[in-house]
Amino acid sequence: MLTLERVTGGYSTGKPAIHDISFSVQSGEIVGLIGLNGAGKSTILKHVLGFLQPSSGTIAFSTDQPLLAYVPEMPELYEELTLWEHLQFMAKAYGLEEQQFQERAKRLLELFRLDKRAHHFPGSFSKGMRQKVMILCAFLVKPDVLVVDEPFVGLDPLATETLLNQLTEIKQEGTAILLSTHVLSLAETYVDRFVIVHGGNMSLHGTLEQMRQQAGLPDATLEQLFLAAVRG
Amino acid sequence: MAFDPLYATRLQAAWQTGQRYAKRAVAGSNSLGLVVLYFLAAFLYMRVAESLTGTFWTQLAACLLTAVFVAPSSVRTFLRKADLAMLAPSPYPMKHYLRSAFVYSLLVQAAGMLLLAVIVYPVYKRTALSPGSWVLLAGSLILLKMWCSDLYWRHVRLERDSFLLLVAIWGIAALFLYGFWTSNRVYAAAALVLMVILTAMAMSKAARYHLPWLFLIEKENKRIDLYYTILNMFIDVPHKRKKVRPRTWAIRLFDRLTGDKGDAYLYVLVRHVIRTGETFAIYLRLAFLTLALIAWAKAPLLLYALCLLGLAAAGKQVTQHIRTIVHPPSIRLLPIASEERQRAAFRLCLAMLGLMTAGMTVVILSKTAPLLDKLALIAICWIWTYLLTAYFFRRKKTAANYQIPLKR
Repeated sequence: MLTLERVTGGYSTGKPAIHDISFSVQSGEIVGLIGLNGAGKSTILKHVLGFLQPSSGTIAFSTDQPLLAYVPEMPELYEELTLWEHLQFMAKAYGLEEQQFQERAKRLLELFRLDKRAHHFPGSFSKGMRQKVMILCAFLVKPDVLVVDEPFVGLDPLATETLLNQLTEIKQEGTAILLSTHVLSLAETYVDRFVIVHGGNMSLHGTLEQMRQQAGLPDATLEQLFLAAVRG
Repeated sequence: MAFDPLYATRLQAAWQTGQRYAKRAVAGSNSLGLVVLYFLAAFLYMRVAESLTGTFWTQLAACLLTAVFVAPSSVRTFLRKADLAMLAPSPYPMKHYLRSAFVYSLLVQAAGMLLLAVIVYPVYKRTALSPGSWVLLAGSLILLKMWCSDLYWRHVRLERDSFLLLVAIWGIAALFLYGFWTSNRVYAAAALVLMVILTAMAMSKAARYHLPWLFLIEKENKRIDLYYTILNMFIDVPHKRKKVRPRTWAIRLFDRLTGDKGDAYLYVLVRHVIRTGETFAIYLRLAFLTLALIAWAKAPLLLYALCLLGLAAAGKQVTQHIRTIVHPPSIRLLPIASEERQRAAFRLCLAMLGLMTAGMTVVILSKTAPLLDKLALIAICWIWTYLLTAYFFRRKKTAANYQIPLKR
């Protein structure tokens, strides 16, 4: 569904932040981007989303007009739209049928326990609740490609569990998910393949088993592999 | 006296920001109303001043009112939240920094007193027992202000910024001014004695070694917030956290007037313009003012000018708001074409101007004039509404495109 081939880029052409990044995300798969702060994870995501242009390499989608959804690390909401209006806005933008929208929206609001706040403005929401709104908007449209940047930050354990269940559900429905996270224990359980980024380069990539072989650590956990990769 | 380098840098940055915003505020359509208001207020004030005589009550009222502007003092510290972590533990010479803050604030407030003297002088001349020169009045006001500022600063550094203190300063300043107004040395001397006592009392409690950082930072933040609130009346200030007003009735009305229910961008645009910033409030004020003026105006030329200018001013306000909307980056991922954005902005502006023109139509029809003249004016207003909207949202080649490149 999504393929990156030898992508080099960053915020200025003279100083690339990422170098030769190549990986793919298939439909019905979760690929985890893992790295230290400043390793280049968010930069890769911004290139995938089209917010940044690579100086070399290609980013390709298997369909011409894929539906993309993005959950940023810092929730960015329209302060002048209520939670319900945010969902309605997304439904209009993606051309969802009214009945389909009503069903999905109500289910998601209940799942994330936001049904009582549906007609509130986000000004009164906590960071976790704002994050939930972003997640709800992304799940509402059932995108072809879902890009999620540090989704677990600020979420309570119940919301984290719901999010993981929802990620699994839309994955099974065929969505390609690119997930950036620091929570390695969750990533180890829910992510199918990994890309460990260090200093803007790919250190290890593939399934857990493939990465163990690449690192020469046959019994290593994801955390051990990650630490080995970043410590060189 | 040379200002502290850090303070001087912050002061310069603040002035540059202020100048930039002032230019934008002057260019905004709301500044025109302020100019009209200024001339109106100046005219009325001069008429009132000329009608005054030197009675006890007029003298007392003049002194109490003048003291209202003399008593409140402030010190621009330019302290920021980060200073608490950066400067508070460091050996930076804050004494010099704060002295610079005090001196600068004193100079600014002294300039304010010169302006106050210009304003008050006509009343002083009419009501004082034996009025002195303007220089004498200005000098007295500056001296009073210096005392007020000094006392305020001493108390602020002791975290004793109370309303009671302000009332006491106001009372003493008024007493001094009354003595000055009536050439009564007893009142002036009594005020001076009280001033010395209050200053001595404040001095007896030396300022703490540790600065009241949180207190000073909070005061500075409140001041900046106030500036932005005032500025927000003229232009939309991005730094100012936008107050969101639900305005359900207006949302319902404009959702209907703008039509297309499936248009996602129009949906968000209507809510943005109506609920955030001052645009909608300004639009309403402008609409009501224009309608009132049209109802009052009789000369045909004036009527035409009011109609066309009122619509142009409202259109400019709405256009400015729409052009400065900053969307979350994720909107770029939504399948919303640039044509859709352009169309949505056009529809909303047309709906807002159309509603105003509908109001004008009613007022014009209710006026006593030949029907043909009224219909001609109404027709011109409607054509003007469409032309204005088309002009404000004419397609530009440089318009931003929200289509993200998917393959490179």
